[in-house]
Amino acid sequence: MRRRRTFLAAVGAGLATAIAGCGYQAGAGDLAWDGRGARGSTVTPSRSDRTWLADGESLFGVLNQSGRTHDFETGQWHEFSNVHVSVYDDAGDRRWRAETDDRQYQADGEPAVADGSAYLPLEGGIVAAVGPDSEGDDGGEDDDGSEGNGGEVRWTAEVGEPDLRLAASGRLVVAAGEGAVHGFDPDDGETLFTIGVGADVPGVAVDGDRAWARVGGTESRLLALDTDGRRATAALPDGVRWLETAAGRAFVGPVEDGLTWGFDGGGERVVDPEVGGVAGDRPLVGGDRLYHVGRGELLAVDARSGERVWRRERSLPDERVATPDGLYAHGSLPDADGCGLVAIDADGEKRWSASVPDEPGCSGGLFALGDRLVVADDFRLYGFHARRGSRRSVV
Amino acid sequence: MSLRTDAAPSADRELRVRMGVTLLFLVVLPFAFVYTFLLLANTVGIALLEWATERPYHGEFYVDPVVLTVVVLGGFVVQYRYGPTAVLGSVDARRVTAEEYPDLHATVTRLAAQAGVPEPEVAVLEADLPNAFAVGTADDGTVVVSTGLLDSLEDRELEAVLAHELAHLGNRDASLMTVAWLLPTITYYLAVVAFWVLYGFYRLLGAGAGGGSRDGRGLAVAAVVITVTTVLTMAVSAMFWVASVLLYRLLSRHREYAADRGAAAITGDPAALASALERIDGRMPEIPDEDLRRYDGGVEALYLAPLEARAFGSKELISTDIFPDSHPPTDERIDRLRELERGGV
Repeated sequence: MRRRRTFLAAVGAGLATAIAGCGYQAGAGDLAWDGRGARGSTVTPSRSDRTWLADGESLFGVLNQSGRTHDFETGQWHEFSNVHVSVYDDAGDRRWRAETDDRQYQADGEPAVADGSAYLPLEGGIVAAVGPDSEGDDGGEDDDGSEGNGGEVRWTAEVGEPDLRLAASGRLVVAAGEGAVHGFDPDDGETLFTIGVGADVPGVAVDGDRAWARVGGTESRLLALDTDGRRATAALPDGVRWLETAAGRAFVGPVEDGLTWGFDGGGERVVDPEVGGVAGDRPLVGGDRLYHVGRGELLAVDARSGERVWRRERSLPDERVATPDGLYAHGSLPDADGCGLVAIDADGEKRWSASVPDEPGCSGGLFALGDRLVVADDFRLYGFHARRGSRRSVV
Repeated sequence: MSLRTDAAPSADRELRVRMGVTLLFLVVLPFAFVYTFLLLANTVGIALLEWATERPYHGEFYVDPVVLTVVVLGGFVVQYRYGPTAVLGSVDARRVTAEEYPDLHATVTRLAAQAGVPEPEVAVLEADLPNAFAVGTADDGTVVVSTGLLDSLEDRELEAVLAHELAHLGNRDASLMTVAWLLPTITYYLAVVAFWVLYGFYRLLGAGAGGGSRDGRGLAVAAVVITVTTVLTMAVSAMFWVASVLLYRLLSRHREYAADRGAAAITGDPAALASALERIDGRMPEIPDEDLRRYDGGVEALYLAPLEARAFGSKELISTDIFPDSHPPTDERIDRLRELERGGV
């Protein structure tokens, strides 16, 4: 009997070892999951106008919704108009969701996301912060089978200016309207500063606890603001179209002769990278790199030194995202025989390209979440491997 | 007298070379078998997967080479360690003591001393089938004889048969044969399973499985995937079965000649073994099918004399399927022994 047990144990161990050492190693660009994004709103939206944003860890779907709903407690039908936010992780699982109050306004502008929270510019000049529930609801199913939300509107602030532009980090939220820049504490919505600028603010950006605002009007200028509202100002030439931050610096472009300018936190112009014909296009930021893409060329600028690191003659599809590892793009790829994904490493070399299924095909926005690339269309999410998968092994 | 200094040293060298080559391929073939499947999985398999699921796959199937090495070598170790016990169990052979079979034990003890090999254990299987075989290593071997053999043979013939089995242990080919049957058996049964899966699937289709509302594409995908997978499995298994049987035969037939020579050297009486083989071969057709099937199924290649299919009329034997022609023709062995007798040992 003992011999038989020993034999069976040896065979069992062999089988377990064999199974543990084999399998399918996903390739870069393989579909990892799909379809989870179909879940979300408690009502079916009448329009497919969901906006997707990512903060590197989570994907936020922001949807304006309106219509009539039935209140079972009062037995009454009533109108509603609000914003629904669904947040997903890199496995396609929903982390939480939240809706603004039924009587609140809809989003009127581009939201901002940072550190797991979304900041919404609502109609009527209101900023609303939506984040995970402070009571720890995980957003999954409740004990009674109904789905929990897991998210809540954490605070709102009334700015009173229409057409707000938002930018956020984990330490500072900035809203810019037609004549002022407002700073808020992301935790409780406390107003940190309000600075009148007397002109339109077409661009704001935040990096850590520092904000930059590109002020238009007759004398275009750049404001550098800290959380106390202390500021520095730098003059900008006419024609600047974008503002971006990287490595604690603010970059604007285009300026004369294909240049861009980089400013430090004190408003000093410290670098002026020469990027040629793509200076007018907003760069993508991945780590300490600025990637300029367009007109059949692709170039990378080191944000600290302002040096152009490399330049390649390469076209990329329009949906692009940058990470510290490099660039990814989604769309029509000739070498993927149709629609696909392509990865460019931080040295400008093509890492891989891969075709994608007919759905999503070439449509949908591209986002990077951890080890996944997520393509999001209005109702569905598709998660792809950003790099080759791992192999199981016991040794 | 020692088997190391028998009358045919050049033949011994040939046996050693054959054993070395067998051992080499014995280790290489399982790896080739697995990696052939892996290659097919990463070409045909991925293409099938893409077609069936209508989406691209950019990864690959893999087998960790270190784990595979551990599994293959571990399998050999397990087989080497437990194979003899498994073989004895499969034919219901029982190890017996000197008190139970004093004459048999005494003969084995004497012959082992003559051959210069450690005395092996002795096992007996209750059967009319007259046969014998040896399993294990030279240091830890077992000689198995059937009661039919004990009843059929004269003393000098039995002595020759026992010497033949001791020669297998002394030549160390018995232990190699104990592990060498693994791959042919696995590939044979894998092909059989693949065939029955394919056969069963089409029988189900023929019976109308799936109903009238079945998804046409789903059924087509299942049919293509199962057909391609099973046909490829059968093809690869058959290919490696042929390779492993050829490998098996590289040793299995030659080792019988070597053991015959060894037995002649130990006993000095080649004619006794020739006579025993004649007697055993002559008795085969008289053995009931039921008795024969007990000893069919994988260990036949170890036997002193093969279970010839011709002996059982139309009854097919798994042994002869898995290991065709594992033994040299008995007539030829007898002729060689007679020649040895004429030339003097």
